[in-house]
Amino acid sequence: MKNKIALVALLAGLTTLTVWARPPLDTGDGVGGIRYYDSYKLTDQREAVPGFFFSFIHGPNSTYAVYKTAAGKGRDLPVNINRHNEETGVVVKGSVLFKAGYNGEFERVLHVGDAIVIPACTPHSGIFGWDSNEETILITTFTEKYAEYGSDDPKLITPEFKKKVSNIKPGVAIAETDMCKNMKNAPKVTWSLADIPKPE
Amino acid sequence: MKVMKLLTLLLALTTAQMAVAALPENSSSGVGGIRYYNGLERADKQEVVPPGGFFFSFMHGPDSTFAITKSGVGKGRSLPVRINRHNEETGMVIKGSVLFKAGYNGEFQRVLRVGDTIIIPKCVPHSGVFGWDANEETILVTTFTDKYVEYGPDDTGKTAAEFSQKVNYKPNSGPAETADCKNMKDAPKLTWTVKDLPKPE
Repeated sequence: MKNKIALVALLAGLTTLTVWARPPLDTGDGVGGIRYYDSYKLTDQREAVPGFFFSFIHGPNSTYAVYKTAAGKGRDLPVNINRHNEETGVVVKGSVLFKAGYNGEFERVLHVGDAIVIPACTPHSGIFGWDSNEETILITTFTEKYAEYGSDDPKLITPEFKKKVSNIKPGVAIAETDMCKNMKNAPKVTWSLADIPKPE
Repeated sequence: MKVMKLLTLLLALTTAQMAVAALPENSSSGVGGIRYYNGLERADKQEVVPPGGFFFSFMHGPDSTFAITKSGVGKGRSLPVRINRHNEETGMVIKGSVLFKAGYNGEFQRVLRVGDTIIIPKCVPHSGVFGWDANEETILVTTFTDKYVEYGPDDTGKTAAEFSQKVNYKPNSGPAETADCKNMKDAPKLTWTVKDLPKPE
């Protein structure tokens, strides 16, 4: 009996020492120059407008963002963003009807794994949850820091973004930034949100 | 009765045609300035050999490169990825897990799981072990904020020699190998190698 107790105590002691000796596996945001966040968790906490969730994180020269629409709510929320830098995006859940180009030449339903690269000043728009009004998640990276979004403090939704997703007027020119306005021979935008097909 | 069946059939066919007609016509890559591809499908076709069990696809924009890195079940764990970089990189795990380590002293270390996102500034050494939790299939989506021209054209259907070289690394070679990073003033010394990554239990 004493031997058993001694053995258990020895094993417990060794286990404790092993745990103590092991360095912590996870370090925090910003350590070693790396920025980190749990984007899905944070996005769920940040409802920009009803049914539409958005979060982002800045790097020194880039901004990473997650756009999510809840099931049954996303279809009526076209996203129309004027851009001064390049953007990449990939659908990781659901579907997005994506339309882009000065004449709206590019039009495709994006599903999981479908990726796009949107050059600077290219007008683009989309309807989330296209296939069946399902929950949809699009992740994107802006290849410059999207400074207008302000701090990526998780408690705040920036007024800049709220304005973009909630104050869209049909017929307004999409390329609104100075850089795009000042492009030489800039083409005219010939379409608006009203030209996007409507879900059935 | 037959007439009813025929009418029903015609109605069904017409409805189906209308549904197809209502769908937007998918335009191809490059139209309107937009580049498009299905990264997951393409990655499955592009296995990096050697070492095998590791898949990679990418697409260039004018000023960026989008990439998907995937490890197969039971094959990814032994494949630390260590990439020297001359531009900023964002990454998110969309399947599985990656033990990610970074910084000149390896200060950042974290198991990244679905939804976990990182931004790696230029010239910061970094490495990872895919399928960390259970040797499971793992997919990491990344964007390089300059065009990664060394990868070559993205329409070859083949993995670029540049990438194969990167994953077929030699221990103890310096991660910050590009001229941009070498020429940094007061560049810190790298104090760790892939050997310093924890081993899966």
